Amino acid sequence: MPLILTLRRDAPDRATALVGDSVLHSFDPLALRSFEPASKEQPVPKEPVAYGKRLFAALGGEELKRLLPKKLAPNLDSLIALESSDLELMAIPWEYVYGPAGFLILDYLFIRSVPDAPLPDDPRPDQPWRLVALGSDPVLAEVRDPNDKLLGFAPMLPLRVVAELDDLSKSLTAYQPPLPLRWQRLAPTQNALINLNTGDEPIILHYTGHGDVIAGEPYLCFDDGTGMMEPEPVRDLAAELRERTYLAFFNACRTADVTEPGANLALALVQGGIPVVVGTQFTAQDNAAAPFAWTFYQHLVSNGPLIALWRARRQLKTLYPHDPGQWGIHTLYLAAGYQWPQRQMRVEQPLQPLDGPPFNILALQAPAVVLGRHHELHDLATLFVHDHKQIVTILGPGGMGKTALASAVAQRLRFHFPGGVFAVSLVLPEANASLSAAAIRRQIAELLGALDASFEDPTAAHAQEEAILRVLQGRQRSLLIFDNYETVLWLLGKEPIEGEGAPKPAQWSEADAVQRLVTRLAKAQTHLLFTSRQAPVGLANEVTYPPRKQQLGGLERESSNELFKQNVGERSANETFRDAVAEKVGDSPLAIILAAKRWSTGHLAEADFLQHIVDELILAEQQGVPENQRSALANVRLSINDLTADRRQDFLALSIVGNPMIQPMHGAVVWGLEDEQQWFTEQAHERLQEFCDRSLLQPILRDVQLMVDEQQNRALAYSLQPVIAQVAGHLAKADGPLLEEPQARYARWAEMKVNRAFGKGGMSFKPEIAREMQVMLPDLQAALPHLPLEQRGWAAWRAADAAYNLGRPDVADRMLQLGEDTAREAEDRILEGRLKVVQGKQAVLRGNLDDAIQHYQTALTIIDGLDDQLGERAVIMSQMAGVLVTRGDLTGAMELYQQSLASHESIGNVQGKAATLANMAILQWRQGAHEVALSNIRASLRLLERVGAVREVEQVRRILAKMEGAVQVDTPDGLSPGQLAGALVAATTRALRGQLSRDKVREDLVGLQVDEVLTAYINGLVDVLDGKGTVGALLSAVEQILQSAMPAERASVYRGISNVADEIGDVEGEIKARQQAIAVQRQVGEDRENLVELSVMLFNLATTYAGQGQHAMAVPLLEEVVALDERNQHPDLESDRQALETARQRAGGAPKQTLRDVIEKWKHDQDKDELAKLINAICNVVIDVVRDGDTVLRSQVAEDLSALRMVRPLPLPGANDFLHALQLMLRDQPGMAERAAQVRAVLPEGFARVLVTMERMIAGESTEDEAEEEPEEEEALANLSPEQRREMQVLAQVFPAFEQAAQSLHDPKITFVQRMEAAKQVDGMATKAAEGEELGSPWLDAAAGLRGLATLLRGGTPDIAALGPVYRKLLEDVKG
Amino acid sequence: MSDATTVTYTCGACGWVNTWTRDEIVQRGDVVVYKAVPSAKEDRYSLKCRNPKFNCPGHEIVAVERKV
Repeated sequence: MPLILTLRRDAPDRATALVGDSVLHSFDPLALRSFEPASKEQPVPKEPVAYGKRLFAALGGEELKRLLPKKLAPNLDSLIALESSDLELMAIPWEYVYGPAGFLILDYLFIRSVPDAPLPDDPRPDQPWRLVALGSDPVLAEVRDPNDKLLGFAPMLPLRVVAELDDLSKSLTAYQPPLPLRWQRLAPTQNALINLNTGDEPIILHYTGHGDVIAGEPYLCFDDGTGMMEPEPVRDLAAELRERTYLAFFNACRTADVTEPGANLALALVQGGIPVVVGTQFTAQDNAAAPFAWTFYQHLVSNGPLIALWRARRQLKTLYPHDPGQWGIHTLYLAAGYQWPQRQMRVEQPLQPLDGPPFNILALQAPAVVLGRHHELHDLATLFVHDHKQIVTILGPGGMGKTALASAVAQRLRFHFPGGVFAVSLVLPEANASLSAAAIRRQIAELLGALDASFEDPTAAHAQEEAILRVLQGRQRSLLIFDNYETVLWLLGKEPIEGEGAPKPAQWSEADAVQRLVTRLAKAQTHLLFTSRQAPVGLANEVTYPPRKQQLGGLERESSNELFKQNVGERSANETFRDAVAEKVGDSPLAIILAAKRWSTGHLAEADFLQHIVDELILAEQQGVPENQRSALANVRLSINDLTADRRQDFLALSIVGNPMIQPMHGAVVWGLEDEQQWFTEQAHERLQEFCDRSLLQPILRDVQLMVDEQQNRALAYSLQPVIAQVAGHLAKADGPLLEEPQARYARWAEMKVNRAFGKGGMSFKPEIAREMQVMLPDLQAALPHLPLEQRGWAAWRAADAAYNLGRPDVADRMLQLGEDTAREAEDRILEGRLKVVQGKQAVLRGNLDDAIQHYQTALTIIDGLDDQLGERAVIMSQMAGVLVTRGDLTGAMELYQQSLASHESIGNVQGKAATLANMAILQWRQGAHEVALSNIRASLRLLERVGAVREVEQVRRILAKMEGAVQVDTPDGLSPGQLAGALVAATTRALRGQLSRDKVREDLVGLQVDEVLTAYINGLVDVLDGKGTVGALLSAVEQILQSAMPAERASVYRGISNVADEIGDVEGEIKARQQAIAVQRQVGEDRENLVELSVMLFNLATTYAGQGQHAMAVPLLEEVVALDERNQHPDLESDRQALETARQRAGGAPKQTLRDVIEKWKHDQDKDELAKLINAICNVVIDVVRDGDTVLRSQVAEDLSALRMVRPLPLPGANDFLHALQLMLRDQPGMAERAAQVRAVLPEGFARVLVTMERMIAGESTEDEAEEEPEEEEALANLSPEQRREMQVLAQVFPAFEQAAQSLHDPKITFVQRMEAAKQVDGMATKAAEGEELGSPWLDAAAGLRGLATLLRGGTPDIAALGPVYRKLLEDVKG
Repeated sequence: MSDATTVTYTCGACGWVNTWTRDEIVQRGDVVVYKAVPSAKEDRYSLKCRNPKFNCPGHEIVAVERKV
């Protein structure tokens, strides 16, 4: 049972404790209020236990012990409430009552109860709580004499209110399950509190900041908006808050004061109508206040205030186990009879917090708390708040803390700018980096949410400025911060440039564009805050701080001393020495931090340490460094030179990194920490941490979740302070050649990354690659210019395409510029053309079709001047045609497609021709020429199947299916029996392949209303789907149907049946069907297309025979294929000849030729054309051997390649190096990475791409997006052996099953039963896949993979190790 | 209070008698901030117990006058 102890005043010196009407004990309240305080600042009882026992005795001692609740906290029956409205009785710190088992507050729910307090109505049950939080942390307080005369201003030590509120906000928002509570942060002013409007939502008020009692009145110390403390009496606050506030928590000193009985704010508020108030009886330590509040709110909503208070008190006990004086400081006053409302409300998602106006100053990368600078902070805030200045520029030398000051001012002004506070940094990360006005406009637009279509075109400066201004004008007052504006002023010549070198003329126009932007912002009345070194920005209405164009000085000595102390670590440094260092370095914060770190890691005596600083300062003076820059520069140099020679070199190498976020990978790259297999990023991270420990790098810790390695408590990314970067760049330049290797490594790494990300139509669409590239864009800009000429331009071309695809046209433009410059220098016209094509594509995306056509025409003009570029021309014309289609000029488009088709045909580019035919078909379909369209799309499909372009085949099949479907719908009776038979067998094949629902197709077949002749055929197909049909039955049934059909239709049907046979593993039926198809195809006609089709059919039949070991049967078929190839001048002639040769040898019983045999044969003839074929074969062998992982075989093949490499030079440029790269890949030994990188760096473009493709195939990654129009990529696919093509085709068939499984495994909505059902289906697929397959068939691999997948779906653990590499990876991906 | 002046107290957790010079307090102590208007004349430092025999968790808060 709860215990209510009533305290009754009997006489001035006497009071009684009662339970109901029973008197427990009487005591002298004045005597109880007397105890020895622990300290003047925090007058809690010095001996809490002894004092607590006195309190226990006063309340009845043994009698009270008998009445204590039997239950213990957190049981609600453990409640002990002391009830009284007598101020003096309530001014006894009862929270220290010490019972037989210890302090009662630790075992019971111990509170104060206020009788006769007004109670509010319960809040509406459908409204969430509104937790309104104010954090007041003024920087200055007025100091007055006893006559209230202002004497001056005293600085205030910073409180951790921002961290306290941030932690609270994050934890409450992340609470699971989501709490019915909305977080709202309020400006720390009394006005904000009085004018608080929360609608109907019931309020929980949290105040954190300073509190005090002045002349017997409770005060809260608000902020006047500029950082000046504004103490306000708050006894009457209840009138503003009652009937809508249900709990108030004042996490400030003396808000339930016991020292002056009349100043008890908590009691006054409960008596005024706030039913629950938490306050402090004494002064409260800032460090203790935050964790107490955090724990309190974690439990408040779920458990109510009594249990929350008990939990928070336990938390204090954990934090201060030996200081019980801290445990009883907080006290809770409750209106007697008040029941905390039980909220049944449930919310699905965390409620959107109201964290004040938009605020994003991450770009400043400033410390969370600035030391000192009290007056500067107040002055700057006053300029905006009281003096109503619109534009302020903070001037000061590098390292003086301008950015930190701007950040702190921004924090203080966040509620003064209801439209938001935003910051951009103009610092350039490395010496060669250049300013980009477009990038700055884009950053601002992103911050403001002003990105619109104009940002797709980086040159549309005016439109982008308009977009930014439009958004700003639609907002309330906003503040934009431009940090490091000296970058612009240097380039404009308005400020003498620091460091070396003169700005490039092109950079002047960029700087001018930024200056124009800020001028327009200023004219539009936007509030602006700049940091700059010496010169103001030069805007009307601009004021500088410090005034009169002086520069910001050092810290106050006290703050310097504290800063040194905070950074010095374990090595002792007395105050005098710290003062001396601060004086020598002019109280520059950067210099002090660096000096403190040097002191902590060094061994110099004090005098020597100081002398080093003096010597370096003298040196800087002799070098002409201006006085106000010397201390920072000198100390940066001292800290860098303090490193060991190796580490110094490592540190200077970081100056080439163009990414403002330096990550361990950057270190590993520029320092060459790698072997054949991996980058040693852990080792790199340790080095970065070393530099960070010396404050030469700053950790990027702002977004804790993103940037902190919590396990190792270290940053994941680092940045270079601008002055440090400047000095490092200067020293690195002085060291000259030392940077060449890091630059080359950095460039190769960037190129490798961009190559990997780059696919057919641009960048890969894989999200992880897109994310990586997004982060890497600054690296590409910094690194690629260091590539050798022959690689630089092409890498820039890819990077441009990648940047466009990432929505960064500003970066893409720069990459295009680099590409164009390089193309001119290298006289590479093809590259020039490609760059124009990229621009054309992007113009299309922007909807700027005129520009697109212009770019394409320029590209054509460039290409037309070159020999052997018909392929390029064809591709460009296809793309131009696409633009015309968009414009509606279908005739013009068709003409271009025709020209493109002719070009592709003349060079034998099968895949290009197929793509063009497909495009033409789509266009013809739109024009209503359905038959022509169908004919073209089918022709396209045939060609694509022939070259094994898996993805394209799928795309075209889909288009064909749609067209055929539409034809059937449009003209249900319009199909001839032959056409219908063809369509039905095609649908059946797709169902067998799992591309269509088997049940659905079966249902459609059964439901067809057809004549008797067709019924037998359809029944045959249904039987096949049911797993009991035979191809023989189908062939019989179809014979009658096809009697009157056209030969092309008949060939198509037989071919379809052969595919069905292939799917169900009926080899005999397959051979019969293929023979029939060939026989009919011979009747179709002798135009080139039909002959090519015949050739494909013959080749397929030959492959079927070969698969059965019947090589002799394959030989005549392949002989005919070769003859047809010769007649058609088909590009596959050579490979088909080779296939014929192999078949002949196998038919004659010859053993399989070894690679060495082929190499030796070539060495005998040394035919240049044959070499290309040999290298193709080698690539296939290498892929197989590396995949299998047999080291003996790998070594053997590597040795075989040596035999070929001995021919020097091989007649194909780059072939020797390419073979060398393959050998390194095969040998795969540690320490070869460096060599491999060197070899790869000199490979010609074509070989480099083949290598990348091979690596992706070995890794089991898709190479699909590298195959289409690009001739080089087409070559890479053409290099695949028929087996590999088949393997890829199989993969394409089963891949959707893996995709679906991945989804169902990770989708919580999929039930267990559904997953079991899916597993059953996958098992069925596996059985089907394996049926009739012989050893070595890719279908067997697929079946094993599918069975593993089914196991996974059932919740089991498949034996992944037993699978082939491709399916192993697939299953690992599915497992996620 | 000069740099050499000492402050002595007995640790509440282990009973060890701690002696600190002003300079040691300023170097080793953590500034304690109260959520009340601070004194303009002195700072308070939290000091960890110096008992060398075991790692005593005791802390003591002492006030130190600011240097003018």
